[in-house]
Amino acid sequence: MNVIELKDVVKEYPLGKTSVHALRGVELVVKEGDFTSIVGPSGSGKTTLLNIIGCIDQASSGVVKVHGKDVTAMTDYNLTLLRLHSIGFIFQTFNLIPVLNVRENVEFPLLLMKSKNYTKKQVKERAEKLIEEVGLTEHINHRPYELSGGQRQRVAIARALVTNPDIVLADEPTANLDSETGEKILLLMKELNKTEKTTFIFSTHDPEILKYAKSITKIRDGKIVA
Amino acid sequence: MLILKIAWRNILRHKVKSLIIGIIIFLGALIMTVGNASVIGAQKGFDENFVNRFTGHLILVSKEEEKDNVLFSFMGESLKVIQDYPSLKNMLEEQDYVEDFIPITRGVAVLLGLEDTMWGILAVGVNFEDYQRTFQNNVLLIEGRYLKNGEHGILISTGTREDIYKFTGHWVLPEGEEINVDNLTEDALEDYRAGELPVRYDLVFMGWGGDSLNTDIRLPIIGIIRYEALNQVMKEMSFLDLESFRECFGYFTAESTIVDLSEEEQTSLDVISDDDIFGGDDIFADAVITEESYDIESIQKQTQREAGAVNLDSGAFNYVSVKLKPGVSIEQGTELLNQAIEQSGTDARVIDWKTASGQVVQMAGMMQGSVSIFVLILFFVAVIIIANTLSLAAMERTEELGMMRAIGALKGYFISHMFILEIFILSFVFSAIGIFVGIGCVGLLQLANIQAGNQEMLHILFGGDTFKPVIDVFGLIGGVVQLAFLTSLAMIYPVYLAGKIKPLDAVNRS
Repeated sequence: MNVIELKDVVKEYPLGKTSVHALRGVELVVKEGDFTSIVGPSGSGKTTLLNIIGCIDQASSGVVKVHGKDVTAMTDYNLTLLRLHSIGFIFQTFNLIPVLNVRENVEFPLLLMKSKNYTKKQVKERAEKLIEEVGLTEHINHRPYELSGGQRQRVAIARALVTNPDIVLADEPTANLDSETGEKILLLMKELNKTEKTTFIFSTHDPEILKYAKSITKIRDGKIVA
Repeated sequence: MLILKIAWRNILRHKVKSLIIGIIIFLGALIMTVGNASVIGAQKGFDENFVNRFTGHLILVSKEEEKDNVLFSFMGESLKVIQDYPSLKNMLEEQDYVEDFIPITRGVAVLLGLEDTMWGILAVGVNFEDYQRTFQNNVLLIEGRYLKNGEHGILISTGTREDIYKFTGHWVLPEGEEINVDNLTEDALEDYRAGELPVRYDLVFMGWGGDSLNTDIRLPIIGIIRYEALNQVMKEMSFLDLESFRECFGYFTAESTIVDLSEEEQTSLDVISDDDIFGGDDIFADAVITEESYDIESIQKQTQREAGAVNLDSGAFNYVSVKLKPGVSIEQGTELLNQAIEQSGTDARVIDWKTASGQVVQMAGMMQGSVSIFVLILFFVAVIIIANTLSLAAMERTEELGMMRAIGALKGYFISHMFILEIFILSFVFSAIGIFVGIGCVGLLQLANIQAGNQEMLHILFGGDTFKPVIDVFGLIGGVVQLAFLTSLAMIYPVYLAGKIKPLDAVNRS
């Protein structure tokens, strides 16, 4: 089953009187449970593509479908709910809430899900399970500034997975980590892909970590090349 | 709970900004508490002093009187006389919501015979002892003695005495009194030391602006007076006895209305026509010169009439000041009195004290209003500063807010609620501190007993002789409402700005 379908997606950014083409007619299909990597050099359009898939940016033209639903015409409200319930994000710079500790950061998306009516106990158990899976139980009450880069990215992974999303998008998740930590993070993602049956799409320009991907999509100058 | 937790921790995280906003809210709360207390104190003081010591709650005037500003019109317009005051008096005595009332005449009396100068004074004609009882003995004696009911004479206010000296060079004194140097003005003291201070013990007055029957009348000065409250505002008002006032202003006196005819006189008047008195050829007769001598003085005595006890209430009055019992509002009193007047058919209409006082009260309202406007300006300055600081805070937190939006926080719910909570917490904490400190400042100001001195404007602004700010529950509630409005106004733009932050902004910022 296709979880993501992109047809002839174009993204232009205005730049003075001209415009910059970030994506030029991208066609992409991602299947459920995939662990796919989007590869390309800096400025190739990886981040733009992930942002459009993640519904935090809109295509200038073309069709973007998430779970078969065209998201290009959705309101901001519906897009927000879609992100909350179906998509998890792992950012390059970790992006944790600085005033919350590890547990609270992981619990945060669950507490936003009013419609699910999770009890406090359920929220706590789910968060603790994921924190344990990413190996941060000892740091459960630490604030982000008390953690290393790798530990912060683990928190971000736990947070991205806590709502049981269908898709997790990771934009260069290892870019700010040393190679050993980066590898550990990729292994963790791979394991969660197996255990949680979650679709992972991650971008990278590091050929070393491509070996972990089930499928690879190459992008160059805004076009899918392979 | 999560929003509250994040809001509280964000406040602590951004300590400097929180403190800046907090200090502004604290100052706003402090200024509003003291400002509201000052305005309420001034209004209360002014209302109490005016109502209890000068006007009463309601003023009754003749139905024919067209003006509403009847009490302190300094332009000399005369007021219509109430017809049949005794009926009005009977009606008022029957009203159980009326605590007290007093009939009064008032007008501008022109001083005559002083250095070719004409000078008008605001004169009030009353039974002075009754006036003192009704208005809490507000008139204080400086020199001489008080006027007794039925006694002819004048009580000159200190302001009037100073005006008379300024315009005529004469220093007025109560009969039999000597100059008290402590009461002289600086110029009068100089004249006194130079032996050039002429003294007057009586004054000649003529009513101004009345009908054509005004006459001049010489009155002894009985006392020099001042007012216990609002003296600086009302210092030009002097008191005449009722009969002298009526004579001076050409009203029929109470005495002139008393004519009791014997049965024989009445019969004669009924049968004798004008022709019987003035007609016929025998009106004039030739004079017969005799050598008899007459004692002119004894004849004069025979033709003079001794002033006896008269019923002063049967004479002319311009208005009646009515004090209502505690708990009866001015609106209730007005309605009840209007009903009673209609039922009794008496010649009166009701005016509330503020309307009747005209410009004096309006000026007080304007001055007290100017304090409110000053507070309002500070209020808007505070709104701008808070809004600006919060907007900067929102922009600085683009990454955090954008990331929250990316992972599913709704801008209309979570983001705005979080921001509103942060401002609410700051506002609640610092407003409470500001209000408590404000209450303390009001207490200190009350203890400081700041005097208005000789500044008339300060008397009006303070609502009395001293600055007495008052903390009351409604004032505090009003302050809290104002602060809530201030913070609500200040947070509109920052919340809008925070809501506009997109998830993509966070990604780009990263």
